[in-house]
Amino acid sequence: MKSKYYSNFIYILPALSFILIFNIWPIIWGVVLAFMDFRGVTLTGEWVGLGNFKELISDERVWQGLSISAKYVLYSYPATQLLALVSGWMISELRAKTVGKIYRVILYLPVVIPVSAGMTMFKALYESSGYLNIMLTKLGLSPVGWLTDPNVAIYSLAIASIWRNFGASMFYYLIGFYNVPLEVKESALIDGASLWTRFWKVDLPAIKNMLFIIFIQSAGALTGGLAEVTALTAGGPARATAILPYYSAEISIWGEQRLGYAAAINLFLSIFTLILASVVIRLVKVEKE
Amino acid sequence: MFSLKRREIFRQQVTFNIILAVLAIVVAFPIFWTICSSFKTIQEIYTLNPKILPKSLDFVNYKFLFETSVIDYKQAIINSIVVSITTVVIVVICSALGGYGFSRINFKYRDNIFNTIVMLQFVPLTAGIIAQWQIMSLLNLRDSLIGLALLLAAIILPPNLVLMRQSFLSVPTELEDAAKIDGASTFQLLWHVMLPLAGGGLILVAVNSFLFTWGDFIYARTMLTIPSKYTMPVIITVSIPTTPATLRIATYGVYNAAAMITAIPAIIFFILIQNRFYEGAREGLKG
Repeated sequence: MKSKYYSNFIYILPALSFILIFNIWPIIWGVVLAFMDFRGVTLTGEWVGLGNFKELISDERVWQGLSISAKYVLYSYPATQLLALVSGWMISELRAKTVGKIYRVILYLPVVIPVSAGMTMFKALYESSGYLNIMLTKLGLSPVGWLTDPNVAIYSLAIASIWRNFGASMFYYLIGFYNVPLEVKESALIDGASLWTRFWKVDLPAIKNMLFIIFIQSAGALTGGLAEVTALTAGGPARATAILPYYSAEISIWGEQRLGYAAAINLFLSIFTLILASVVIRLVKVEKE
Repeated sequence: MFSLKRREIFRQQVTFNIILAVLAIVVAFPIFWTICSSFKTIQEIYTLNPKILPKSLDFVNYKFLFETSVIDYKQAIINSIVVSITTVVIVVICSALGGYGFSRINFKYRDNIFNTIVMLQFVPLTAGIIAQWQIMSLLNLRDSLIGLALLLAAIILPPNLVLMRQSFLSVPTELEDAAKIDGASTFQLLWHVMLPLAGGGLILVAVNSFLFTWGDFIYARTMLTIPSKYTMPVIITVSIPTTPATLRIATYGVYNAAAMITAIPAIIFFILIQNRFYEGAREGLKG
Protein backbone atom coordinates (compact mmCIF):
# COMPACT_ATOMS: atom_id res chain seq x y z
CA MET A 1 0.00 0.00 0.00
CA LYS A 2 2.74 2.39 0.93
CA SER A 3 4.66 1.88 -2.30
CA LYS A 4 1.44 2.53 -4.19
CA TYR A 5 1.30 5.81 -2.39
CA TYR A 6 4.67 6.91 -3.69
CA SER A 7 4.05 5.65 -7.19
CA ASN A 8 0.99 7.89 -7.28
CA PHE A 9 3.23 10.80 -6.48
CA ILE A 10 5.16 10.14 -9.67
CA TYR A 11 2.65 11.96 -11.89
CA ILE A 12 3.31 15.32 -10.32
CA LEU A 13 7.02 14.71 -9.82
CA PRO A 14 8.30 16.19 -13.13
CA ALA A 15 6.27 19.37 -12.79
CA LEU A 16 7.04 19.66 -9.11
CA SER A 17 10.79 19.30 -9.55
CA PHE A 18 10.88 22.09 -12.16
CA ILE A 19 8.80 24.33 -9.93
CA LEU A 20 10.90 23.55 -6.86
CA ILE A 21 14.24 24.25 -8.52
CA PHE A 22 13.44 27.29 -10.64
CA ASN A 23 10.47 28.80 -8.88
CA ILE A 24 10.20 28.06 -5.18
CA TRP A 25 13.89 27.79 -4.35
CA PRO A 26 14.67 31.20 -5.95
CA ILE A 27 11.85 32.87 -4.02
CA ILE A 28 13.12 31.51 -0.70
CA TRP A 29 16.75 32.10 -1.63
CA GLY A 30 15.85 35.66 -2.62
CA VAL A 31 14.76 36.35 0.95
CA VAL A 32 17.98 34.86 2.37
CA LEU A 33 20.11 36.83 -0.12
CA ALA A 34 18.60 40.07 1.12
CA PHE A 35 20.50 39.63 4.38
CA MET A 36 23.83 38.89 2.72
CA ASP A 37 26.51 40.74 0.87
CA PHE A 38 26.70 38.66 -2.25
CA ARG A 39 28.60 39.74 -5.32
CA GLY A 40 29.04 37.90 -8.56
CA VAL A 41 28.24 34.27 -8.99
CA THR A 42 30.72 32.81 -6.57
CA LEU A 43 29.37 30.91 -3.64
CA THR A 44 30.95 33.17 -1.06
CA GLY A 45 28.51 35.54 0.49
CA GLU A 46 28.79 37.25 3.80
CA TRP A 47 26.08 37.77 6.38
CA VAL A 48 25.41 41.44 6.88
CA GLY A 49 22.17 41.20 8.84
CA LEU A 50 20.13 44.30 8.22
CA GLY A 51 23.04 46.06 6.53
CA ASN A 52 21.44 46.07 3.09
CA PHE A 53 18.25 47.52 4.46
CA LYS A 54 20.15 50.22 6.32
CA GLU A 55 21.89 51.10 3.09
CA LEU A 56 18.76 51.19 0.99
CA ILE A 57 16.96 53.52 3.36
CA SER A 58 19.61 56.14 2.75
CA ASP A 59 19.99 55.36 -0.96
CA GLU A 60 18.22 58.16 -2.75
CA ARG A 61 17.99 56.09 -5.97
CA VAL A 62 15.77 53.63 -4.12
CA TRP A 63 13.33 56.38 -3.15
CA GLN A 64 13.58 57.90 -6.57
CA GLY A 65 12.82 54.47 -8.06
CA LEU A 66 9.88 53.96 -5.74
CA SER A 67 8.38 57.32 -6.62
CA ILE A 68 8.85 56.67 -10.34
CA SER A 69 7.20 53.26 -9.88
CA ALA A 70 4.31 54.98 -8.11
CA LYS A 71 3.98 57.50 -10.94
CA TYR A 72 4.09 54.70 -13.49
CA VAL A 73 1.25 52.87 -11.71
CA LEU A 74 -0.76 56.05 -11.22
CA TYR A 75 -0.53 57.05 -14.88
CA SER A 76 -1.09 53.63 -16.37
CA TYR A 77 -3.07 51.34 -14.03
CA PRO A 78 -6.38 53.22 -13.60
CA ALA A 79 -6.57 54.03 -17.31
CA THR A 80 -5.73 50.43 -18.20
CA GLN A 81 -8.50 49.09 -15.98
CA LEU A 82 -11.09 51.64 -17.05
CA LEU A 83 -10.41 51.02 -20.72
CA ALA A 84 -10.48 47.27 -20.14
CA LEU A 85 -13.73 47.39 -18.16
CA VAL A 86 -15.58 49.57 -20.64
CA SER A 87 -14.39 47.76 -23.75
CA GLY A 88 -15.00 44.33 -22.18
CA TRP A 89 -18.50 45.35 -21.22
CA MET A 90 -19.30 46.81 -24.64
CA ILE A 91 -18.07 43.71 -26.43
CA SER A 92 -20.18 41.49 -24.17
CA GLU A 93 -23.24 43.64 -24.98
CA LEU A 94 -22.83 43.39 -28.75
CA ARG A 95 -25.61 41.54 -30.54
CA ALA A 96 -23.49 40.71 -33.57
CA LYS A 97 -21.26 38.00 -32.12
CA THR A 98 -18.88 37.81 -35.07
CA VAL A 99 -18.15 41.52 -34.83
CA GLY A 100 -17.52 41.06 -31.12
CA LYS A 101 -15.02 38.33 -31.93
CA ILE A 102 -13.11 40.65 -34.26
CA TYR A 103 -12.87 43.33 -31.57
CA ARG A 104 -11.78 40.93 -28.87
CA VAL A 105 -8.99 39.59 -31.10
CA ILE A 106 -7.68 43.03 -32.12
CA LEU A 107 -7.77 44.41 -28.58
CA TYR A 108 -5.87 41.37 -27.30
CA LEU A 109 -3.15 41.48 -29.97
CA PRO A 110 -0.79 43.79 -28.01
CA VAL A 111 -0.76 41.20 -25.22
CA VAL A 112 0.38 38.35 -27.47
CA ILE A 113 2.88 40.42 -29.40
CA PRO A 114 6.26 40.03 -27.65
CA VAL A 115 6.73 43.00 -25.35
CA SER A 116 10.03 44.03 -26.88
CA ALA A 117 8.46 44.01 -30.37
CA GLY A 118 5.59 46.15 -29.12
CA MET A 119 7.96 48.60 -27.48
CA THR A 120 10.06 48.74 -30.66
CA MET A 121 6.90 49.78 -32.51
CA PHE A 122 6.40 52.61 -30.03
CA LYS A 123 10.06 53.60 -30.20
CA ALA A 124 9.66 54.19 -33.92
CA LEU A 125 6.46 56.21 -33.40
CA TYR A 126 8.08 58.22 -30.59
CA GLU A 127 11.25 58.98 -32.53
CA SER A 128 12.04 62.72 -32.73
CA SER A 129 11.27 62.76 -36.46
CA GLY A 130 8.76 59.94 -36.12
CA TYR A 131 5.14 59.80 -37.19
CA LEU A 132 3.66 61.28 -34.01
CA ASN A 133 5.83 64.39 -34.16
CA ILE A 134 5.22 64.88 -37.87
CA MET A 135 1.49 64.73 -37.20
CA LEU A 136 1.85 67.24 -34.35
CA THR A 137 3.80 69.60 -36.59
CA LYS A 138 1.15 69.29 -39.26
CA LEU A 139 -1.50 70.24 -36.72
CA GLY A 140 0.54 73.34 -35.94
CA LEU A 141 1.81 72.07 -32.61
CA SER A 142 5.41 71.82 -31.54
CA PRO A 143 7.03 68.39 -31.59
CA VAL A 144 7.40 66.53 -28.31
CA GLY A 145 10.53 64.79 -27.04
CA TRP A 146 8.62 61.60 -26.31
CA LEU A 147 11.64 59.65 -25.15
CA THR A 148 14.19 62.44 -24.80
CA ASP A 149 12.40 64.89 -22.49
CA PRO A 150 12.66 63.70 -18.86
CA ASN A 151 9.32 65.33 -18.05
CA VAL A 152 7.51 63.55 -20.87
CA ALA A 153 9.12 60.11 -20.96
CA ILE A 154 7.12 58.70 -18.05
CA TYR A 155 3.88 59.54 -19.89
CA SER A 156 5.18 58.00 -23.10
CA LEU A 157 6.01 54.89 -21.10
CA ALA A 158 2.55 54.87 -19.52
CA ILE A 159 0.84 55.15 -22.91
CA ALA A 160 2.86 52.26 -24.33
CA SER A 161 2.16 50.25 -21.19
CA ILE A 162 -1.60 50.87 -21.38
CA TRP A 163 -1.54 49.81 -25.02
CA ARG A 164 0.33 46.65 -24.16
CA ASN A 165 -1.54 45.60 -21.01
CA PHE A 166 -5.20 46.59 -21.15
CA GLY A 167 -6.15 43.66 -23.35
CA ALA A 168 -5.16 41.19 -20.64
CA SER A 169 -7.55 42.82 -18.16
CA MET A 170 -10.24 43.20 -20.81
CA PHE A 171 -10.06 39.44 -21.27
CA TYR A 172 -11.00 38.86 -17.61
CA TYR A 173 -13.78 41.46 -17.59
CA LEU A 174 -15.16 40.10 -20.83
CA ILE A 175 -15.26 36.54 -19.50
CA GLY A 176 -16.92 37.85 -16.33
CA PHE A 177 -19.60 39.70 -18.29
CA TYR A 178 -20.15 36.75 -20.64
CA ASN A 179 -20.91 34.63 -17.60
CA VAL A 180 -23.53 36.94 -16.11
CA PRO A 181 -26.54 34.60 -16.04
CA LEU A 182 -28.85 35.27 -18.98
CA GLU A 183 -31.94 35.29 -16.75
CA VAL A 184 -30.51 38.15 -14.72
CA LYS A 185 -29.83 40.17 -17.86
CA GLU A 186 -33.22 39.47 -19.38
CA SER A 187 -35.23 40.26 -16.30
CA ALA A 188 -33.50 43.62 -16.16
CA LEU A 189 -34.34 44.17 -19.82
CA ILE A 190 -38.00 43.33 -19.27
CA ASP A 191 -38.12 45.68 -16.31
CA GLY A 192 -37.11 48.35 -18.77
CA ALA A 193 -33.90 49.22 -16.97
CA SER A 194 -31.81 51.70 -18.92
CA LEU A 195 -28.40 50.75 -20.18
CA TRP A 196 -26.75 52.84 -17.49
CA THR A 197 -28.79 51.26 -14.70
CA ARG A 198 -28.08 47.82 -16.03
CA PHE A 199 -24.36 48.48 -16.03
CA TRP A 200 -24.34 49.67 -12.41
CA LYS A 201 -27.04 47.46 -10.95
CA VAL A 202 -26.71 44.20 -12.87
CA ASP A 203 -23.45 43.74 -14.73
CA LEU A 204 -20.98 45.38 -12.37
CA PRO A 205 -22.27 43.63 -9.20
CA ALA A 206 -22.14 40.34 -11.10
CA ILE A 207 -18.37 40.64 -11.47
CA LYS A 208 -17.67 42.14 -8.06
CA ASN A 209 -15.32 39.35 -7.02
CA MET A 210 -13.25 40.10 -10.07
CA LEU A 211 -13.25 43.82 -9.28
CA PHE A 212 -12.08 42.99 -5.78
CA ILE A 213 -9.09 41.09 -7.17
CA ILE A 214 -8.29 43.94 -9.58
CA PHE A 215 -8.26 46.43 -6.71
CA ILE A 216 -5.87 44.28 -4.71
CA GLN A 217 -3.65 43.80 -7.74
CA SER A 218 -3.33 47.56 -8.12
CA ALA A 219 -0.79 47.41 -5.29
CA GLY A 220 1.04 44.59 -7.05
CA ALA A 221 1.35 46.76 -10.15
CA LEU A 222 4.14 48.59 -8.29
CA THR A 223 6.43 45.62 -8.93
CA GLY A 224 5.66 45.64 -12.67
CA GLY A 225 6.95 47.45 -15.71
CA LEU A 226 10.46 45.98 -15.84
CA ALA A 227 10.10 44.60 -19.38
CA GLU A 228 8.46 47.74 -20.75
CA VAL A 229 11.10 50.03 -19.25
CA THR A 230 14.01 47.84 -20.33
CA ALA A 231 12.77 47.59 -23.90
CA LEU A 232 11.47 51.14 -24.38
CA THR A 233 13.61 53.57 -22.39
CA ALA A 234 16.29 51.64 -20.49
CA GLY A 235 15.47 53.85 -17.53
CA GLY A 236 16.27 57.07 -19.35
CA PRO A 237 16.32 59.89 -20.16
CA ALA A 238 18.22 61.11 -17.10
CA ARG A 239 16.75 58.25 -15.01
CA ALA A 240 13.25 59.65 -15.52
CA THR A 241 11.80 56.17 -16.05
CA ALA A 242 14.10 54.18 -13.76
CA ILE A 243 11.38 52.36 -11.81
CA LEU A 244 12.53 50.49 -8.71
CA PRO A 245 12.61 46.99 -10.28
CA TYR A 246 14.79 48.43 -13.04
CA TYR A 247 17.21 49.95 -10.54
CA SER A 248 17.56 46.64 -8.73
CA ALA A 249 18.26 44.77 -11.97
CA GLU A 250 20.68 47.48 -13.02
CA ILE A 251 22.86 47.22 -9.92
CA SER A 252 22.88 43.44 -9.92
CA ILE A 253 22.35 41.41 -13.07
CA TRP A 254 23.22 44.07 -15.62
CA GLY A 255 25.78 45.95 -13.60
CA GLU A 256 28.05 45.62 -10.62
CA GLN A 257 26.45 42.32 -9.54
CA ARG A 258 25.42 43.42 -6.06
CA LEU A 259 23.00 40.51 -5.74
CA GLY A 260 22.38 40.76 -2.00
CA TYR A 261 21.60 44.46 -2.14
CA ALA A 262 19.32 44.03 -5.15
CA ALA A 263 17.49 41.18 -3.41
CA ALA A 264 17.02 43.44 -0.39
CA ILE A 265 15.52 46.13 -2.62
CA ASN A 266 13.13 43.62 -4.14
CA LEU A 267 12.17 42.26 -0.72
CA PHE A 268 11.60 45.82 0.48
CA LEU A 269 9.36 46.41 -2.56
CA SER A 270 7.44 43.17 -1.93
CA ILE A 271 6.82 44.04 1.71
CA PHE A 272 5.83 47.57 0.77
CA THR A 273 3.42 46.14 -1.80
CA LEU A 274 1.94 43.68 0.70
CA ILE A 275 1.32 46.46 3.23
CA LEU A 276 -0.27 48.57 0.54
CA ALA A 277 -2.41 45.63 -0.58
CA SER A 278 -3.68 45.03 2.94
CA VAL A 279 -4.60 48.71 3.18
CA VAL A 280 -6.47 48.42 -0.12
CA ILE A 281 -8.26 45.30 1.11
CA ARG A 282 -9.32 47.10 4.26
CA LEU A 283 -10.57 50.09 2.27
CA VAL A 284 -12.55 47.91 -0.11
CA LYS A 285 -14.07 46.02 2.82
CA VAL A 286 -15.13 49.25 4.50
CA GLU A 287 -16.63 50.35 1.21
CA LYS A 288 -18.55 47.09 0.96
CA GLU A 289 -20.17 47.42 4.36
CA MET B 1 -43.62 51.03 -27.06
CA PHE B 2 -41.93 47.94 -28.42
CA SER B 3 -40.61 49.70 -31.49
CA LEU B 4 -39.26 52.50 -29.36
CA LYS B 5 -37.30 49.95 -27.38
CA ARG B 6 -35.94 48.37 -30.53
CA ARG B 7 -34.83 51.72 -31.83
CA GLU B 8 -33.10 52.39 -28.54
CA ILE B 9 -31.28 49.09 -28.68
CA PHE B 10 -30.29 49.78 -32.28
CA ARG B 11 -28.90 53.17 -31.33
CA GLN B 12 -26.99 51.66 -28.44
CA GLN B 13 -25.51 48.96 -30.66
CA VAL B 14 -24.38 51.55 -33.20
CA THR B 15 -22.76 53.68 -30.47
CA PHE B 16 -20.91 50.68 -29.01
CA ASN B 17 -19.72 49.64 -32.43
CA ILE B 18 -18.40 53.10 -33.22
CA ILE B 19 -16.54 53.39 -29.91
CA LEU B 20 -15.08 49.89 -30.21
CA ALA B 21 -14.10 50.45 -33.84
CA VAL B 22 -12.23 53.65 -32.94
CA LEU B 23 -10.50 51.85 -30.07
CA ALA B 24 -9.59 48.92 -32.31
CA ILE B 25 -8.11 51.28 -34.91
CA VAL B 26 -6.04 53.08 -32.27
CA VAL B 27 -4.81 49.77 -30.84
CA ALA B 28 -4.04 48.27 -34.23
CA PHE B 29 -2.34 51.40 -35.57
CA PRO B 30 1.16 50.82 -34.14
CA ILE B 31 1.08 47.27 -35.50
CA PHE B 32 -0.18 48.34 -38.91
CA TRP B 33 2.28 51.22 -39.05
CA THR B 34 5.13 48.85 -38.27
CA ILE B 35 4.13 46.38 -40.99
CA CYS B 36 3.98 49.23 -43.51
CA SER B 37 7.23 50.83 -42.35
CA SER B 38 9.07 47.54 -42.60
CA PHE B 39 8.62 47.79 -46.38
CA LYS B 40 9.73 51.40 -46.66
CA THR B 41 13.04 52.76 -47.89
CA ILE B 42 14.88 55.54 -46.09
CA GLN B 43 13.37 58.15 -48.39
CA GLU B 44 9.88 57.01 -47.47
CA ILE B 45 10.61 56.94 -43.73
CA TYR B 46 12.44 60.22 -43.32
CA THR B 47 10.11 62.59 -45.10
CA LEU B 48 7.91 65.40 -43.93
CA ASN B 49 4.93 63.89 -45.69
CA PRO B 50 4.95 60.25 -44.62
CA LYS B 51 2.37 58.02 -46.25
CA ILE B 52 0.97 55.21 -44.20
CA LEU B 53 1.19 52.67 -47.01
CA PRO B 54 4.58 51.88 -48.55
CA LYS B 55 5.11 52.65 -52.25
CA SER B 56 5.76 49.03 -53.01
CA LEU B 57 6.43 45.79 -51.20
CA ASP B 58 10.14 46.47 -50.98
CA PHE B 59 11.91 43.81 -48.90
CA VAL B 60 15.02 45.94 -48.57
CA ASN B 61 14.88 46.00 -44.76
CA TYR B 62 14.34 42.27 -44.51
CA LYS B 63 17.22 41.68 -46.93
CA PHE B 64 19.47 43.83 -44.79
CA LEU B 65 18.43 41.85 -41.73
CA PHE B 66 19.34 38.52 -43.22
CA GLU B 67 22.18 39.35 -45.59
CA THR B 68 24.08 42.48 -44.66
CA SER B 69 23.63 43.04 -40.96
CA VAL B 70 26.50 42.16 -38.67
CA ILE B 71 23.92 41.19 -36.06
CA ASP B 72 23.00 37.57 -36.61
CA TYR B 73 19.21 37.60 -36.89
CA LYS B 74 19.11 34.16 -38.49
CA GLN B 75 20.81 32.69 -35.44
CA ALA B 76 18.39 34.56 -33.17
CA ILE B 77 15.40 33.06 -34.97
CA ILE B 78 16.89 29.58 -34.59
CA ASN B 79 17.59 30.27 -30.90
CA SER B 80 14.02 31.42 -30.35
CA ILE B 81 12.68 28.30 -32.02
CA VAL B 82 14.97 26.02 -29.96
CA VAL B 83 13.93 27.63 -26.68
CA SER B 84 10.24 27.67 -27.59
CA ILE B 85 10.05 24.06 -28.74
CA THR B 86 11.96 22.78 -25.71
CA THR B 87 9.76 24.70 -23.31
CA VAL B 88 6.52 23.68 -25.02
CA VAL B 89 7.50 19.99 -24.96
CA ILE B 90 8.43 20.14 -21.27
CA VAL B 91 5.32 22.06 -20.28
CA VAL B 92 2.98 19.83 -22.27
CA ILE B 93 4.40 16.63 -20.77
CA CYS B 94 4.63 17.97 -17.22
CA SER B 95 1.20 19.55 -17.17
CA ALA B 96 -0.47 16.49 -18.73
CA LEU B 97 1.06 14.22 -16.07
CA GLY B 98 0.73 16.75 -13.26
CA GLY B 99 -2.80 17.84 -14.13
CA TYR B 100 -3.84 14.19 -14.08
CA GLY B 101 -2.08 13.62 -10.78
CA PHE B 102 -3.70 16.63 -9.16
CA SER B 103 -7.18 15.83 -10.45
CA ARG B 104 -7.54 12.06 -10.27
CA ILE B 105 -4.94 10.53 -8.01
CA ASN B 106 -4.86 10.66 -4.26
CA PHE B 107 -1.67 11.17 -2.34
CA LYS B 108 -0.60 12.88 0.81
CA TYR B 109 -0.56 16.70 0.82
CA ARG B 110 -1.97 16.78 -2.69
CA ASP B 111 -4.18 19.78 -2.09
CA ASN B 112 -1.54 21.65 -0.09
CA ILE B 113 0.93 21.24 -2.92
CA PHE B 114 -1.64 22.28 -5.48
CA ASN B 115 -2.64 25.38 -3.52
CA THR B 116 1.00 26.40 -3.21
CA ILE B 117 1.34 26.12 -6.97
CA VAL B 118 -1.76 28.26 -7.45
CA MET B 119 -0.30 30.90 -5.14
CA LEU B 120 2.97 30.97 -7.10
CA GLN B 121 1.18 32.67 -9.98
CA PHE B 122 0.72 35.77 -7.85
CA VAL B 123 4.33 36.13 -6.77
CA PRO B 124 5.84 39.03 -8.74
CA LEU B 125 8.69 38.37 -11.15
CA THR B 126 10.97 40.67 -9.19
CA ALA B 127 10.77 38.46 -6.08
CA GLY B 128 12.73 35.65 -7.70
CA ILE B 129 14.72 37.01 -10.58
CA ILE B 130 17.95 37.88 -8.74
CA ALA B 131 18.12 34.45 -7.12
CA GLN B 132 17.08 32.79 -10.38
CA TRP B 133 20.00 34.47 -12.10
CA GLN B 134 22.36 33.21 -9.44
CA ILE B 135 20.95 29.69 -9.40
CA MET B 136 21.15 29.53 -13.18
CA SER B 137 24.80 30.57 -12.92
CA LEU B 138 25.55 27.95 -10.29
CA LEU B 139 23.89 25.22 -12.35
CA ASN B 140 25.89 26.39 -15.37
CA LEU B 141 22.65 27.08 -17.21
CA ARG B 142 23.19 30.76 -17.88
CA ASP B 143 23.97 31.51 -21.52
CA SER B 144 22.45 28.16 -22.39
CA LEU B 145 19.32 27.98 -24.53
CA ILE B 146 18.21 24.72 -22.95
CA GLY B 147 18.82 26.24 -19.52
CA LEU B 148 16.61 29.19 -20.42
CA ALA B 149 13.96 26.76 -21.67
CA LEU B 150 14.02 24.88 -18.35
CA LEU B 151 13.62 28.11 -16.42
CA LEU B 152 10.78 29.36 -18.62
CA ALA B 153 9.03 26.00 -18.34
CA ALA B 154 9.10 26.27 -14.56
CA ILE B 155 7.76 29.83 -14.70
CA ILE B 156 4.83 29.01 -16.98
CA LEU B 157 3.98 25.59 -15.46
CA PRO B 158 1.75 26.77 -12.56
CA PRO B 159 -1.07 28.32 -14.65
CA ASN B 160 -0.90 25.43 -17.10
CA LEU B 161 -1.12 22.84 -14.33
CA VAL B 162 -4.23 24.60 -13.06
CA LEU B 163 -5.66 24.55 -16.58
CA MET B 164 -4.96 20.85 -17.16
CA ARG B 165 -6.32 19.89 -13.78
CA GLN B 166 -9.51 21.71 -14.71
CA SER B 167 -9.69 19.91 -18.07
CA PHE B 168 -9.28 16.51 -16.42
CA LEU B 169 -11.87 17.31 -13.77
CA SER B 170 -14.42 17.95 -16.50
CA VAL B 171 -14.05 14.39 -17.87
CA PRO B 172 -16.86 12.21 -16.45
CA THR B 173 -15.60 9.53 -14.04
CA GLU B 174 -17.83 6.78 -15.49
CA LEU B 175 -15.48 6.35 -18.44
CA GLU B 176 -12.58 5.77 -16.13
CA ASP B 177 -14.53 3.32 -14.01
CA ALA B 178 -15.37 1.31 -17.10
CA ALA B 179 -11.72 1.18 -18.14
CA LYS B 180 -10.67 0.29 -14.60
CA ILE B 181 -13.00 -2.69 -14.64
CA ASP B 182 -11.27 -3.77 -17.84
CA GLY B 183 -8.06 -3.79 -15.82
CA ALA B 184 -6.34 -0.69 -17.17
CA SER B 185 -3.43 0.76 -15.17
CA THR B 186 -3.49 4.41 -14.13
CA PHE B 187 -1.04 5.30 -16.88
CA GLN B 188 -3.11 3.48 -19.48
CA LEU B 189 -6.12 5.38 -18.20
CA LEU B 190 -4.30 8.65 -18.72
CA TRP B 191 -3.00 7.75 -22.16
CA HIS B 192 -6.03 6.02 -23.69
CA VAL B 193 -8.99 7.56 -21.90
CA MET B 194 -8.19 10.88 -20.31
CA LEU B 195 -5.80 12.52 -22.78
CA PRO B 196 -8.01 12.03 -25.84
CA LEU B 197 -10.87 13.62 -23.93
CA ALA B 198 -8.87 16.47 -22.44
CA GLY B 199 -6.86 17.13 -25.58
CA GLY B 200 -8.40 20.58 -26.02
CA GLY B 201 -6.86 21.69 -22.79
CA LEU B 202 -3.50 20.38 -23.89
CA ILE B 203 -3.63 22.40 -27.13
CA LEU B 204 -4.32 25.49 -25.07
CA VAL B 205 -1.37 24.61 -22.81
CA ALA B 206 0.89 24.28 -25.83
CA VAL B 207 -0.18 27.58 -27.33
CA ASN B 208 -0.02 29.40 -23.99
CA SER B 209 3.48 28.23 -23.33
CA PHE B 210 4.57 28.95 -26.89
CA LEU B 211 3.27 32.52 -26.74
CA PHE B 212 4.96 33.03 -23.39
CA THR B 213 8.31 31.59 -24.44
CA TRP B 214 8.44 33.10 -27.89
CA GLY B 215 7.65 36.49 -26.41
CA ASP B 216 9.76 36.23 -23.28
CA PHE B 217 12.02 39.24 -23.07
CA ILE B 218 13.00 39.78 -19.48
CA TYR B 219 14.28 36.28 -18.64
CA ALA B 220 16.15 35.97 -21.91
CA ARG B 221 17.59 39.46 -21.50
CA THR B 222 18.69 38.49 -18.00
CA MET B 223 20.07 35.00 -18.54
CA LEU B 224 21.68 35.35 -21.96
CA THR B 225 24.78 37.53 -22.24
CA ILE B 226 26.49 36.09 -25.32
CA PRO B 227 25.11 37.73 -28.50
CA SER B 228 25.18 34.45 -30.40
CA LYS B 229 22.68 33.06 -27.87
CA TYR B 230 20.23 35.98 -28.10
CA THR B 231 16.63 35.19 -28.93
CA MET B 232 14.57 37.41 -31.23
CA PRO B 233 12.90 39.49 -28.50
CA VAL B 234 16.35 40.33 -27.09
CA ILE B 235 18.15 40.98 -30.35
CA ILE B 236 15.57 43.46 -31.63
CA THR B 237 16.43 45.78 -28.75
CA VAL B 238 20.11 45.76 -29.70
CA SER B 239 21.08 48.79 -31.76
CA ILE B 240 21.75 48.23 -35.42
CA PRO B 241 24.96 49.56 -36.92
CA THR B 242 24.06 50.66 -40.42
CA THR B 243 26.89 51.38 -42.80
CA PRO B 244 27.15 53.99 -45.55
CA ALA B 245 26.97 51.13 -48.02
CA THR B 246 23.34 50.65 -47.15
CA LEU B 247 22.08 54.14 -47.80
CA ARG B 248 18.72 52.92 -48.97
CA ILE B 249 17.65 51.80 -45.55
CA ALA B 250 16.77 53.58 -42.35
CA THR B 251 17.57 52.15 -38.94
CA TYR B 252 13.89 52.24 -38.05
CA GLY B 253 12.94 50.34 -41.14
CA VAL B 254 15.20 47.52 -39.96
CA TYR B 255 13.85 47.76 -36.42
CA ASN B 256 10.33 47.52 -37.77
CA ALA B 257 11.16 44.52 -39.93
CA ALA B 258 12.77 42.76 -36.95
CA ALA B 259 9.79 43.59 -34.74
CA MET B 260 7.43 42.15 -37.34
CA ILE B 261 9.41 38.92 -37.63
CA THR B 262 9.13 38.59 -33.85
CA ALA B 263 5.47 39.50 -33.71
CA ILE B 264 4.06 37.56 -36.67
CA PRO B 265 4.33 33.98 -35.28
CA ALA B 266 2.62 35.08 -32.05
CA ILE B 267 -0.14 36.90 -33.96
CA ILE B 268 -0.79 33.92 -36.23
CA PHE B 269 -0.88 31.39 -33.38
CA PHE B 270 -3.21 33.58 -31.39
CA ILE B 271 -5.63 34.17 -34.26
CA LEU B 272 -5.71 30.41 -34.97
CA ILE B 273 -6.77 29.56 -31.42
CA GLN B 274 -8.59 32.75 -30.37
CA ASN B 275 -11.99 31.10 -30.29
CA ARG B 276 -10.86 28.18 -28.18
CA PHE B 277 -8.93 30.64 -26.01
CA TYR B 278 -11.98 32.74 -25.16
CA GLU B 279 -14.57 29.97 -25.06
CA GLY B 280 -12.29 27.72 -23.01
CA ALA B 281 -11.76 30.47 -20.45
CA ARG B 282 -15.49 31.14 -20.43
CA GLU B 283 -16.16 27.53 -19.51
CA GLY B 284 -13.28 27.31 -17.06
CA LEU B 285 -14.18 30.45 -15.11
CA LYS B 286 -17.90 29.76 -14.91
CA GLY B 287 -19.63 29.86 -11.56
